[in-house]
Amino acid sequence: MRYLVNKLGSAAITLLVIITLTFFLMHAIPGGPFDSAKKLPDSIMQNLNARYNLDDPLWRQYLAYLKNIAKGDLGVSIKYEGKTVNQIIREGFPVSALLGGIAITAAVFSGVLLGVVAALNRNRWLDYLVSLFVTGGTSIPSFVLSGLLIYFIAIKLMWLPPAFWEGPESAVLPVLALAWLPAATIARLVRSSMIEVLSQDYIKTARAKGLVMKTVVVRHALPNSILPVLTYLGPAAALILTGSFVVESIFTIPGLGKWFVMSVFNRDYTVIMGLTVFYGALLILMNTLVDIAYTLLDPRIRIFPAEER
Amino acid sequence: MELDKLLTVTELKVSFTIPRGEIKAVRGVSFQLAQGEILGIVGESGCGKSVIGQAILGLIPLPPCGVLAGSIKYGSEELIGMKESELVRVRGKKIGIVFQDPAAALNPIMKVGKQIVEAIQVGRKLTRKEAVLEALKILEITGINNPDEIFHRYPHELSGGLGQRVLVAIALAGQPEILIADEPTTALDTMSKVSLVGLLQELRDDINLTIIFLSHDLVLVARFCHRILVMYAGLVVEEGRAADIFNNPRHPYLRGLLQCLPNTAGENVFAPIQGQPVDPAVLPPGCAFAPRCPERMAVCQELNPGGFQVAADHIVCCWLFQPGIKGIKKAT
Amino acid sequence: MKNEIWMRFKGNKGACISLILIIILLLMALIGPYLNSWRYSDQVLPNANKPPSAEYWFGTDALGRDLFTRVWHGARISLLIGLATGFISAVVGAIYGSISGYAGGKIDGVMMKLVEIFYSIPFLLYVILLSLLMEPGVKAMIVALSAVCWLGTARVVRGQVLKLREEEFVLAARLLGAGRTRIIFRHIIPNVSGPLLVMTALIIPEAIFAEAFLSFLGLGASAPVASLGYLIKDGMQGIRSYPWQLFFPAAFVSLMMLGFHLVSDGLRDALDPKIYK
Repeated sequence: MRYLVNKLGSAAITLLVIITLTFFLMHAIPGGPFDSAKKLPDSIMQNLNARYNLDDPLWRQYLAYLKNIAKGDLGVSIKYEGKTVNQIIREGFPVSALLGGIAITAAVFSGVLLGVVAALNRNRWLDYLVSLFVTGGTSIPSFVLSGLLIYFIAIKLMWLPPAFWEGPESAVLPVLALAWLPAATIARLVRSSMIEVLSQDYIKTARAKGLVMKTVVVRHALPNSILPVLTYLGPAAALILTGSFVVESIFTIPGLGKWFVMSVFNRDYTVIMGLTVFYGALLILMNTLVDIAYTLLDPRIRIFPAEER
Repeated sequence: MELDKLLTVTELKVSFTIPRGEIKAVRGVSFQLAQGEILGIVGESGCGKSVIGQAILGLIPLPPCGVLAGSIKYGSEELIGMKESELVRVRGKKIGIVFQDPAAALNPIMKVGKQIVEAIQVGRKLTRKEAVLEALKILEITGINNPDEIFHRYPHELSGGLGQRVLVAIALAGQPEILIADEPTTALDTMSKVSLVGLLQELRDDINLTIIFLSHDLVLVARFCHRILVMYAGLVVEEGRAADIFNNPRHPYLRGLLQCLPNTAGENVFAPIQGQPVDPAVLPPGCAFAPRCPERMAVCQELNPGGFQVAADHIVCCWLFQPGIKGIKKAT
Repeated sequence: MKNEIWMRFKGNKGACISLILIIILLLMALIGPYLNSWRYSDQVLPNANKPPSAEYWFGTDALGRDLFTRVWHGARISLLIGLATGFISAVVGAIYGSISGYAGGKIDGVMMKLVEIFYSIPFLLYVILLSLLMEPGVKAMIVALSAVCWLGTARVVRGQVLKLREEEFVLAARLLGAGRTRIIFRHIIPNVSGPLLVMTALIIPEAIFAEAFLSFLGLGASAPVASLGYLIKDGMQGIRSYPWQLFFPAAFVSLMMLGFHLVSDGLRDALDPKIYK
């Protein structure tokens, strides 16, 4: 379908923009390795030259870089001799993916559940409780949350380990810290969506059939209410991705996020560049998938693929 | 011959509490419904007729509903105050309802056939195949000649007329005794209006379906209903047989409405009713129509009139028709 | 109409309390550091890591500096960054959005395509890259943040302008001979400023958060000029034994964000009231 082609085209352009932006930003950094005034150990300089042809004019370097990416080569580290970005990804991504995957699943489930409960108990105490949850999630930054969780639960109460990635107990606090904000946003979305859905005529029709409220909610209200959640999945993924930088650092989890933070600390520019491109591609992929999923799931949209979404 | 009274509504009152104040949607409505009868309830938007329809089925949400009083007796069962678990038995199976706009009254992401099947399967043990067959049959009854095709469509793929028939099919699926039609023709064009009304008449003739028809279209209602209730601001102002209401209107509001219609010669005698429709949150004491009534008297502005019998089966709620009222001065 | 909006806002208790909260925080940020005798950079090493007391209202940090003063000084910086970012984003976004919306057609298409592309780049990633570019500092932070946030305001303004262009009263005004500038000032600006304000009120806590996040990662302004994010980073070090070092800056960052979020919600509800909340 034309829609699909359009989507993929947009995605490719965005990726290109990210790569270009990152490339030129890195080269513009004063004091960066690409700045000829900076002095780096010879061995590293040799590596860099081989990889990036630092003597070539900028545009040629750019094209070479693009070619490398097309080949799947995302660069080498300046600080850690011999370590390629691909290696780093291979080591760190599985851990981050696991953490992120659990987090987003937890966020969606708890968010939807809380949103439904709040909508069905509007303005009563359950609704109030949920809104406290939402408020907490949206105002306490994830890094603060991590700290608080570690302090109260790991140190004071000693219920769960404060760090590292060993065994399922280690996953609880990091997932909580990562998932709270997305869960809170989803809960809020679902609540208002469901409240609106419940006031629609087709809910009255469903009840008029003689269906009990539970069936009406599950079969008619819920499917119509969660469509907006789908559009939020893209931003939620981005949030969890960037959240992983902090959470993995604080909890000392050997994931990609921690690597990214370290490379920022160390000013390991080539790694920063490579990881940024990777992250960018990942997010674009997820956003595109979500967009396509949305058109498949909403029958009103399926029929008119050429229309602006 | 006393017909069985299927439904008896006595002094039904429904009010809503919103930030602006209390809205008295229905202020004391009473009527009876006989088996096989087609009762029309006519009035402008906001007069309370939709609320009555939903009150019968217990579909009024409790907040913001403040007051739900009176009695609605279905046979010997009292519907007001009935527990939800009991109401679920009545809805669809004994009393069905068809809402106004098929675009809004059908679940947009569910295929139409599935929505009918769902209605069929409530409280019955049928295999999916049996339910589907029955759904197709009902679609045919509603005058759809390509039921297999329509079965698989989504609501937004149907025209207004088709959608309305689907709503009727859903309502009929439970095999109810009474069908409440809430402005089913309002969203339709003239041709579809006529055919839908024709369908309802057929249903009444074929399966003795009792119908309550809510509408603001007086002409339509007069044409096919047996009896008519005219409502204004939450109260019944005139009630009688269709022919009487149309040919012998008594209440000034009803007469005003009829005057707005083109007369038999096709001429439009443009005589609109003066004033603005009443705001249900700010109701005047006395008769709600008094501010706009060309024949109002002093008493009209103070007391709400009760019903006065002016002929067999013809009741008017207007002080003008109290026996002995002649000679009283008109209000200035 | 303005009165109506204000009345609705006042009716929203959460929003009003938050507004008061923000005003209090602003005031404290201005005068807080002067309330006691310590200056934010004074180090009294023997008094390091002391818990809250009469002498040190919020306790001290690892270098013996008074936390009360440092927290309010940090709050000042965080708020400054947040408000400056909000303001710049609002202005830049409004200009870009108005031009795009009013011009319409191809120009609008191209301008918005640009915005869409940049919008799909994750916010924080983008800011991190930009801040690497410059000398760490308050100015750099504001520039980096604004460079991302103006996309949001541009979208909002452009959407409103596009909608208003077709509204009847604009057509009517044009028919009556009103010139372009008159239309812009009399009709478009009042109607755009509402949603723009709501968006800006949302950007401020996002900026404060982003700044705290970046400082936490070591990319923000560095010691001794410290924002709340930096203080939180320091506080994490001592979390086992000196939790107050984390607690105070964390609490105030959260309060700031909460306050702005609720005010923004309140504004949005006041401007576009729906009967149900």
